[in-house]
Amino acid sequence: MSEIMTGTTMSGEIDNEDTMHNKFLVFELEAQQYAIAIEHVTDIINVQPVTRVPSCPDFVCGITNLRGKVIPIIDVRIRFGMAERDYDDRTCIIVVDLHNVSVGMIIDRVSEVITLDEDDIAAPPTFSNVVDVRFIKGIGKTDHGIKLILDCAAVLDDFGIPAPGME
Amino acid sequence: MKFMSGSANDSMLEMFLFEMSSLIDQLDEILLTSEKNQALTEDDVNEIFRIMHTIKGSSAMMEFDVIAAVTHKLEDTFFYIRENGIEQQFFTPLFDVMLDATDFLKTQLEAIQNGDELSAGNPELEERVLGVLAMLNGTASPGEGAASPPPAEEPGMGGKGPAEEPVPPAEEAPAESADGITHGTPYSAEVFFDEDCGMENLRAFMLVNTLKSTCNIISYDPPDIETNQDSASQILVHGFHLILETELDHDQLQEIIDECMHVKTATVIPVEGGYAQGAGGDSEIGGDRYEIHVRFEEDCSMENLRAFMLINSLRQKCDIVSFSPPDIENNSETAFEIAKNGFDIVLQTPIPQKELQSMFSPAMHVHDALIKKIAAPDKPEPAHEPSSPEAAADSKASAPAAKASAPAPAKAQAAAAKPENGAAQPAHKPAKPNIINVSLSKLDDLMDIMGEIVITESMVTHSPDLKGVADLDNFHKAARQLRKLTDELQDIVMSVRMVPIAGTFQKMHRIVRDMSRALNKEANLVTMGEDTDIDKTIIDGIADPIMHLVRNAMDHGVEAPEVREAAGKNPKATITLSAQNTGGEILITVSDDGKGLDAEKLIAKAKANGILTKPSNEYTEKEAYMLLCAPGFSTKEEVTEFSGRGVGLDVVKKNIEKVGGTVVIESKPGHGMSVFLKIPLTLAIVDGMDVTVGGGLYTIQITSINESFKAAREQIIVDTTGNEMIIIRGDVYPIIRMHQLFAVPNAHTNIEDGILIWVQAGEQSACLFVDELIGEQQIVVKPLPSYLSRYDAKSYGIAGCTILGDGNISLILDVGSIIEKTMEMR
Repeated sequence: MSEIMTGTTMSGEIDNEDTMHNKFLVFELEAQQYAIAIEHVTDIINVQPVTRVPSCPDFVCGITNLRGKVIPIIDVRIRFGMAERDYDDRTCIIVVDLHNVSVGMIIDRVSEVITLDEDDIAAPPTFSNVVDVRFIKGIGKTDHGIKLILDCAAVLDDFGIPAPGME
Repeated sequence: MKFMSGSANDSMLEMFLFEMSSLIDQLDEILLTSEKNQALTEDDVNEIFRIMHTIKGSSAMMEFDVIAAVTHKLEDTFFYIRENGIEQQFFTPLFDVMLDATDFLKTQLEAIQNGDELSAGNPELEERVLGVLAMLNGTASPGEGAASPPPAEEPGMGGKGPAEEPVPPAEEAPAESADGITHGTPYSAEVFFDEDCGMENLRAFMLVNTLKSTCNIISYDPPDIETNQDSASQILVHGFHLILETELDHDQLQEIIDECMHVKTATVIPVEGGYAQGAGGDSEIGGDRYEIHVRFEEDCSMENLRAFMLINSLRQKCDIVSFSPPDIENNSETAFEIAKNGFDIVLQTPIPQKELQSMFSPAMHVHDALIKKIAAPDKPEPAHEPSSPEAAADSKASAPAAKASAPAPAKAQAAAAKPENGAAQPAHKPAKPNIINVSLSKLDDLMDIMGEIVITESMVTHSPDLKGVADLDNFHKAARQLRKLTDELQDIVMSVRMVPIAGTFQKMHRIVRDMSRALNKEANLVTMGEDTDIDKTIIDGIADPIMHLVRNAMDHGVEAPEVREAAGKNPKATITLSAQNTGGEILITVSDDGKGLDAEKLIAKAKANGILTKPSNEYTEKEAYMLLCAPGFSTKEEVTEFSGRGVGLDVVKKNIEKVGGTVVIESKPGHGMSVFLKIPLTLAIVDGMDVTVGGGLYTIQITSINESFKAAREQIIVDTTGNEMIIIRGDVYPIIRMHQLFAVPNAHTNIEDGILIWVQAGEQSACLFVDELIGEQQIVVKPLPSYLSRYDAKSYGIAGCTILGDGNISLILDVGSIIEKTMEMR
């Protein structure tokens, strides 16, 4: 799965914008499926050793070496306030590029790439008991259930949470 | 030019900005030195003139008309000074207006750089420049400067309106001097393009197009520039010849052509009696043809300009056919050539040889002139059809174009002009400095790759596959060789990035000068060690801090002259800027002999501002001085134009720390203060010691490690609050448990299981407790990802990270911050 994905998305930069338009990468956390606009995704890699950096909040796992480039890794489960869970062979890191900042996001599993037309996307919920609605910017409706469309900027943003003390 | 607008090429703009800023810096330097010495040497005047001319030309080409307008006026002024000299009394107004002009140019460049709106013009400044020029002129009305044709060098053609004589290229008179030619005058023009510009035919075509709007173009040669690619090489060798009619006067036409892209030299002359008669027949001067070999006096210097003036004076009575070297006017290196080989002129004149000889008077520094009559060519060719080298040279002899053959770079021609006596062999051109400009990003890339190589090298030589292999002699031999080569390569790559700090220091002269005036203080800036080389990235990072410190010294440190005198000091203060390489670091010192710091006042002030972190009586003198660097500390109540905006030295400290440096302040009340900036030589590759704490990898710079050792429990002293310490050779050092500091689980907690590393950062020293030492290796320092910068890992003791040979990431420890942080918490 991730092999194929890597192939399509790695060349994303040179792809015609049109081919990426409306395409979303779907991944899973717990039982819920999330979608992320594919133009943000630059890579999908297996979990690899992460070096913890002091002074960072919990959800920032640390940094890792992605082919000679040092990128920060965040754990989306912790970010969303879910229980931590041991990594397995399906656990992946989705590398997203937002305004030239690369960040790896650890998620449970990657499932597929889907196309969502404008009509298929509904406004985000105002309340949800699954996930903090600040992270959701829309709901994608498909024949196989709904996908929560992730607001990458919000996931990566800090919301002004102060860095935890060293104690 | 029209074709430039719109898509003003980025790289061209970059080049322009680079060139401009270095020229302006150069200009600043000359001005400040001259002002200091109250003298303007001939060299300086020429240099300023050249700089103004270049800036004018380039900015006109890039369509920055405002810059072009101002520099044009300045150029005129310096043209006048070059010709007529300047009296001492005019220095102050001249320098003032010049420095203001450079400021104006700087702001304009900055605006261009930022893509801001450019100012629509600076009539006030231009007015002032004209004012200075008028002052220099004395009562002379415009045009009078051009009064007498020069038999000697001194009067020359004045800065204004030499319209009635053949004007050498590259000097324009202001527009008001349009007293010469009126409408529809025919001109012939010979244009040479820059040698390396390429596509000369297209350049010529564009030139023709440009001229079309103002001129009636009658013919040009070669004629088929549009369709025939080969015409490019023809133009390159023989130049591009135009015959045209225009209502513009000579200077305007010259200017239009000069300002076209890639035009190297352009010679415009009016065609007497109309272009139709211009072809064929001797010019009206006629007479015999002479070949003259001139030698200048040995010590006269600037031979090229002397030769140029000589040519100008000869033009009065003679028809100059050619001279060699041809580019005397714009190539100062020809001076050496002339000094060595003499200067050759071929001319045609009706005056007798004796009279001709007298024209080379000793007043013009001519040592001797060898005049030889030669046969005039008998078959003149039409001026506008020089199609072969010989024809080109010959046509010069007869056609009107010959009169203005001033810069004639064509080799064939130069050769033709040489006398048989062989004195003028192709001279040894003084070696041009072999320097190229490389964009910093390329060097950064190079550095990155260098880093990758270092990593890969250790990846190969420490490969786990090697374990268990019995015979590795050859491998180790090769590995050693590889290591040696990568070390060498690294040294070279580093040295490429090194630039002398002189440029940064140089800028400070201006600041001291301006501030001395504004604050009515007298100060002298002394610089030392300007040739110290520092990594370009670091230089960029420390330029602002140094400027800040110099301003601070001027504003807060240096007292008013009366006060200084009363204190028995020289009323003129001295600010010293020095740089020295102390091995692993660069030490930059900014010191003044001003009033110095008062520790008690500093503490009181800090207390008032609420930034004291411990009881005021516990502060040592040094710590008190460092309060200056605390955020929100500013000793001066009032805000001045130059400093004291309340940001204080904390910005300096921050910026210095950004490049991995440290700040130390020393002071002797009444005798001034010194600020020491310790800057690492380079940021990129350092020797590091890898250690582990709870499975995590950390790297400590070797330079900050004093010693590492195992400690026994009984060596450890614990104070009442539980802080651990150890005595090493009689001194007590705190122990910092890294696992506690970074909250790392699964680390050794028993002091005897791990290892202590005695580290030093500036004045501070401590022992770090870690699990174990892994080994020493070269590491490539990488910054933490920018995404993490919001968590301020730096102040937690992480300076950056590095990728190790096995692909793992190690965090580089910043010993200074760790000690500071720990002391703060204790």
